[in-house]
Amino acid sequence: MMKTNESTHRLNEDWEPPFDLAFRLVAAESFSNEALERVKNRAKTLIDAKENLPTADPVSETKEVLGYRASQRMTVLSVAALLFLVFGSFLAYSPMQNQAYAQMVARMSKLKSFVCQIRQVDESKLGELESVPKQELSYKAPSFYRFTQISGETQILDLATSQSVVLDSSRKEAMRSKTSLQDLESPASFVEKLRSRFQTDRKSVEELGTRTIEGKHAVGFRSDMNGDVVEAWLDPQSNLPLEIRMHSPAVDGIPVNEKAATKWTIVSGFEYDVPVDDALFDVAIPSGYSEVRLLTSAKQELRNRFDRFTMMLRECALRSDSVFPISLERTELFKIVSKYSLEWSEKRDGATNFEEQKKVSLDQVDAVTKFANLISDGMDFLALRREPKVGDALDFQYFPGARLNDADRPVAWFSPDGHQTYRVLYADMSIRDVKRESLPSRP
Amino acid sequence: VPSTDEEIPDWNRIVDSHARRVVQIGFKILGSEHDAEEVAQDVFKEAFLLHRRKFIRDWTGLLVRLATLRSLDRRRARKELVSLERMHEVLCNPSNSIDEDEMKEWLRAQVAQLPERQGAVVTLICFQQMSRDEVAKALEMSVENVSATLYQARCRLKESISSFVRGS
Repeated sequence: MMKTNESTHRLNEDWEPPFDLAFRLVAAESFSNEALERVKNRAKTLIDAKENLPTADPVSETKEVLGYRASQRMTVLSVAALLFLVFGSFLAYSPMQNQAYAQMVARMSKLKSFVCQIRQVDESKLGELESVPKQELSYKAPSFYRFTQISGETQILDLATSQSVVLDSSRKEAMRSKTSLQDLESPASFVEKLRSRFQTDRKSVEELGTRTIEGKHAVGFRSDMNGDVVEAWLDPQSNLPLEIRMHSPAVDGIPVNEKAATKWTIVSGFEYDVPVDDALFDVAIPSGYSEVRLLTSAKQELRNRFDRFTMMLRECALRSDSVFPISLERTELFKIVSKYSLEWSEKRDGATNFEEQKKVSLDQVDAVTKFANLISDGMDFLALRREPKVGDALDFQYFPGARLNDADRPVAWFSPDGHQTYRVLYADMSIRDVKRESLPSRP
Repeated sequence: VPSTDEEIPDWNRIVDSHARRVVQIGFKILGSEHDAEEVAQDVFKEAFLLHRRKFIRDWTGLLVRLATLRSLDRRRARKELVSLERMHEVLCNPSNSIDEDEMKEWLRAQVAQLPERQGAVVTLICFQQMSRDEVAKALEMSVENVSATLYQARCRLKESISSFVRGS
């Protein structure tokens, strides 16, 4: 039966039935001191764990920057990564090792220009390269790159000044931005960047024999690290690449998706020290073009981070019998990392000789570090969501308990853009963008 | 509790000073000690991380705001346990009894269904019995706005029952 406690009738408002009684009942409720102490004790442990908590910079919701589209930003990064591989390949593949490396660095540093073509092709069509559309990349010393995409858009980069411009010739529009790749001032510096990788990969490099590429004798080598495959065909006379084939079904060793698993990037048609027109590398807005300002704000940043967060969830599930984390607490996530590390340790202990043990140990460090970095990225996402204000709707929700590949089972959703759209992650790792009214309810 | 921009202030003191209020808000909104503990834990963690990114001028305001919003979020995600039909049944026939727990659960569901700002104001004034000045400071609103929001919430809650009675 309803009862009231008169001692609690200190409401600021005179409410009508049935609210008056209900408010009084709720206001009179109290919780136990044990609960309070538990909360205090747990909250105080945060100070001890601060070294392990994310420390990312704040993301401004209002900051606008001159930018180019995210896809184009990725293009820049892809090109840079590509060139890392192209020029970094020499170290590992050169039969003469350090001597050849020194010669190659000297050779690359003196290059005035080069051009090459890049193709993205499915494994099944590797034999039909000529029919595949190509992108073109040109380099001009000391730091200029020009990249023409299949769509016709062109990106020009000056890595020395961090300037970049994207030109859409059909619309006569230009977008300028700052690039963050200023440390890559010449092709030779790419070598430095990848040196450590290829040094560690000396053992797994295998010879592919020889073949003829455009009438030139080429020697082939192959490297496979964490699923990233690079096949380099070099001109033994010049120590310069004639063709590079790359297969990257993974990011940081983590499989991306089925489509990427069969995708190859082919870089070919290299020409070195060819005459190039300086005007083609001018990062100023060309005459006749209008400048477009696009927002690549905190929202895009958060969207990218959400993608890393989803990868973190997937990797956690893969290492926990396909079950997504039961909570997003740091302790829970690092428990999964510890378990993963322990599995590697068991593998190492099972090695039959010292060399094998050493290799497993190195792989363990590599794999666990990557996994921990992914966890850190995921936690960055959680930490970087902005401070809520009154009136804000919920912008993120996580539904624990899902199993990887459960059909139509929502795992999490997030709105990166002020509740205009929501990204919903499902247990099969599909992502759907929906409006608020279509958000899935708690399973 | 004062804090500086350079380093974490006396975190233990912040926790000691505000834990009761944070748990209380969660408990009043959620009606479950377990849920209130979980929300409080999330709130402290979120506040701690926020502090690492920016200067927190008003810890009380931040923690009250976080506790209220996070608790309302969690309450909204729950299914309503006591329906308007059940409440109407009781109102129309006073001889029917309603359990205290049912009554509280019903009210919590009603408050959680209010627009966020209204839900927060009602929670802090009516559940938490804070003054309008305190609520205005915590929610970064003017006192007048707090009063107006409370009035709107009240009208809305009353209307929810009236329209149901009219409809039936």
